[in-house]
Amino acid sequence: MKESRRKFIKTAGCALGMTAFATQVHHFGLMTALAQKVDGNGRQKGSLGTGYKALVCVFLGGGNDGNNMIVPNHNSPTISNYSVYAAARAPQGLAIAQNQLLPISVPRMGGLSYGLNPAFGPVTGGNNGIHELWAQGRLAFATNVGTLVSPMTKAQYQNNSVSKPYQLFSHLDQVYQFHAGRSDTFSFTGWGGRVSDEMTLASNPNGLVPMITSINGSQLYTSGQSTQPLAIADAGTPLNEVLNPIGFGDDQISQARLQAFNQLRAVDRDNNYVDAASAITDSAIAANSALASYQEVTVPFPNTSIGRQLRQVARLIKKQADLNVDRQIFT
Amino acid sequence: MTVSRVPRLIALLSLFVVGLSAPNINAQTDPDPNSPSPVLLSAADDPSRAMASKDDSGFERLPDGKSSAYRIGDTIRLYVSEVELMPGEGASAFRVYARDSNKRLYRFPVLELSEVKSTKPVFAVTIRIRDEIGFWEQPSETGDLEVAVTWRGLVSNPLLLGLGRFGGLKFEAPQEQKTKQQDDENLPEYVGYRWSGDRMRFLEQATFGPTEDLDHRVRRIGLRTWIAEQFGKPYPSPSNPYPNIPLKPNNVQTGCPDPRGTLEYNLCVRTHYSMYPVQTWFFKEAFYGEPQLRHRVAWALSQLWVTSFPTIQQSSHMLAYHKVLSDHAFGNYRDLMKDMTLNPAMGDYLDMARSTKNNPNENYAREILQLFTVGLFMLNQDGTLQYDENNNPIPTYDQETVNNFTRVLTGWTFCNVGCPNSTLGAVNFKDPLILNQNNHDVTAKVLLDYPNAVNRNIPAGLNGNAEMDLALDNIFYHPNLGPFVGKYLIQHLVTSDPTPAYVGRVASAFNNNGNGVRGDMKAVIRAILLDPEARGDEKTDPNFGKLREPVQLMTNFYRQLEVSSADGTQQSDGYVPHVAAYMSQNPFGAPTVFNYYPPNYVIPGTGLLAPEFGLMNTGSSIARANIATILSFSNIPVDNRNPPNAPLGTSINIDDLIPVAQADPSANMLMDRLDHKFMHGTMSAAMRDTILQAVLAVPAEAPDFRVRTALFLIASSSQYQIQR
Repeated sequence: MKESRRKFIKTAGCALGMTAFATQVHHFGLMTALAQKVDGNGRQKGSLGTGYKALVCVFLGGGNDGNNMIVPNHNSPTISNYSVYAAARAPQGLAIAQNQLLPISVPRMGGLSYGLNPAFGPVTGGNNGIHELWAQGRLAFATNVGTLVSPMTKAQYQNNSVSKPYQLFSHLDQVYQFHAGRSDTFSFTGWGGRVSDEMTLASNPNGLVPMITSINGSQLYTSGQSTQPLAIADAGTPLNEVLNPIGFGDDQISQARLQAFNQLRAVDRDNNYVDAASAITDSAIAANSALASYQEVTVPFPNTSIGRQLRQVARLIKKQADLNVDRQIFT
Repeated sequence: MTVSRVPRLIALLSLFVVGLSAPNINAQTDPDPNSPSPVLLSAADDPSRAMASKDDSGFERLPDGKSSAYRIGDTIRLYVSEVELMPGEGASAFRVYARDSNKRLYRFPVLELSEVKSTKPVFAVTIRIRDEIGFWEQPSETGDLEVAVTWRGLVSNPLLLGLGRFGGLKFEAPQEQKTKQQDDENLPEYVGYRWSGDRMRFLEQATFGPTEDLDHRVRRIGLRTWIAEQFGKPYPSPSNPYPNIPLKPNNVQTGCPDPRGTLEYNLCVRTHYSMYPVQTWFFKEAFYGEPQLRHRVAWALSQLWVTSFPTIQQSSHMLAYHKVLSDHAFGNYRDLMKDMTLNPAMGDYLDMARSTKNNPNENYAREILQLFTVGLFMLNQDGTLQYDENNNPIPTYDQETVNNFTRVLTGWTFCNVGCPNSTLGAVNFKDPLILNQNNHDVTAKVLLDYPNAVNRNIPAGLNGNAEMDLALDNIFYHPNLGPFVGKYLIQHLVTSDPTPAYVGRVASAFNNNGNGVRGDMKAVIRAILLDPEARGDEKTDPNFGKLREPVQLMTNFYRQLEVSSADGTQQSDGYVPHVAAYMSQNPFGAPTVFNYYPPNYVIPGTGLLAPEFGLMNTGSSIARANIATILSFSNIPVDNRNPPNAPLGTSINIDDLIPVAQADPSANMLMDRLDHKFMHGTMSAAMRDTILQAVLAVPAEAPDFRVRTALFLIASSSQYQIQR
């Protein structure tokens, strides 16, 4: 894995201020076009970065016992080790036995051994799990992250010397902040949407589908000021059917009805709610045309909710050349 | 994408006996619901520009100077006529919207309203030119904005206002903004409510959809009497009682023994461990029930005090929870608070039933404050935020307060032994939670602080039951409660973004029902439904209305078309929850305690408040159109499962529309009928012409298909899907 990509992941997770955040996004290469547009050093606008890139975001709703996900698997006396972990958790029966941990060697920690939760191992009747990706350099963890206005220590938290996240103990607000990429206040937009705002012109010139796609309804993360996501069902529905209105044949009566269905959205848009609903449907109908054909992916995905979601993402990625989009965001 | 969600936690009750007056057939006639449309006065030197003046130019009389351009931050006055104010109505009843050449929407705060000396009543509307929505940056000072004033859901004529300089916007003379008033003129004396458009609008707000029968009833007895009649109706309908389902063990294998796959097993699981009985009961009541208003308000409350399947495992658990909502929908909010706090489903959902002094859980304590009663920030009585000296919103409470409420709410658990519904081997989700004082934290607590706070300090050593009442009173008397609950219910029944004036009037009814009683839901509902911002034959304010949530979209359409079984011979079996779920709203299965959509959701690109739009995206918009197709051209068929989920199926009935289509090959009669039925007479000429073209493409010999074509086009249109 390239260092720049690790940096991106780290930064995205740590929710730095948005200026720093944008810089890191630039390092990732995702925002090449943006960087060129905002570059103040007289650098010439060039062509887009070469090669297609996609950012696939899986957002886990609810809580996660992160300290049981990556466990110290070493006995170093200087930093928290397995016995410290076990001592804290054994009384409640929450400690994972050391021999069940899936070991990883962490270069940043001087090659110390850590262990992944056994759930990251091989799946019965399935693949080998994500554990093996670590050794291949295809997996990174951003640890000790949260919604922060800026980094703070425990002492700073206690003496209120650094701004705390907006509505720190409100679950809903903290979720929004992960989506928004800012923690100092309420935000109307998500960072995926904002990136999409900036990059659509260069990276998605034909605009056949929005460059940001959500497989589970609309999320704050996907909302920009000017771009809205393609929100579609998972791979349980073929890509050419996810946005296809049913019930219209080729006969003249059907076509007259279809034409009226479309024409109705062009009128009465003086009411802003009518306008907003019609705009969303317009976007769906436009995307439907673009998705009329697609190639099935050959990589097997498990038939689970997340498997079907990722499979639908894979179908869209496979269609990127067709759609003439070279950067895409999925969530 | 979301992989999993961990919902949170739970409840209880007391019966509030509804005193009801016998419906009076010779009811009072309701007043004319139609307010005049405001007129924005134009400048003397240019009729396309708004008459305006800077704050310091005097406002005793109309300005006579030339129109000029203004700057961001300027305080200026605009002038409106044709408005008639009621007592207490002022600046907060008005909004001033502006659009720039990019069509971006802004709203300028209205600071003051004052009457100007003139030959006719004119009001000066003082505004600051500074957007308060906050979605976009401030408009640039590079040319004209188009501004308009709204009041009671009605918009004025738009006019230009120079920002920085003139120009940049092409002004199109507005169409006459006359609302349609639909006074059935030649009606006999006994008619209680003659405004046919507003009758339909009212029924969209107060029921699960207008029907001919309801329309006639309201026309005859008027709105006030109809509401009083609804307050007194038994609930649920005697023909559709709550299903009586016994408690089962949490372990499905124990509750429904094998062999799996048998009819008996399948029935057992469906009856006890799915929401099927609740959902079908719910839709039968929505389709055919007499007590529509209580059903509607209880449905709204179920999206405020949320619990959901599958965390709530059994239908019997959910039914006991729903009874709490419906019992208090016309009762007192304080009783709802208590019974919901002691309701076992809520206690399970938000963990209060497991919270003890040694192992406290703050889930319920947090959510009763944040989601169910007072919200995060201090509110003015009109629902707007209060700000501190640094212009920051003022938190209603802090983590310490949550911790203190958490300690108050320790010690309750399920009454598994000795209560009326205690069942061996099952958790008692029917009777209220009971207190085990040994598990109750008896230290002193410090609760919500607010002016003249009630019970802020709870002394040590109290019994938990006494303490709970003190703590609930501490919440109940918080000044946020009226605007918080009032605005929430307005959003569910009437419009997504009510004016502060409207919220204020409803909050005032919450604070005092006229007899000194706080929290009287009947007074709140009356205030919401009879408010001049809700009433009137047509609303022209471009920011008035709400997206019909999937459940309402479906039930309105069905009820307007005499919903029946698939073969049309009897009532539907109510098996339509999958229809709503297909449009992203699985009834009694909200994704989390935050409901299907948040009350503060804004439409991306506008900043407009629109909770239900949280469910509106490319995928669900097509799902809505597909449902319109299925409902219009087909039905929910009888299924052949074992047992069938849909033993009877569900269908619209268009028998009385077919003769209308037959009688007039031009289809104009049909369009007139559908315009009244679905659009309360406000269908635009453009919409009508568009639908007519598709209808006329169907041969006149196929009137059935003509009707269905028109129904599909209406049901799938944004014009219908926005309730206005």
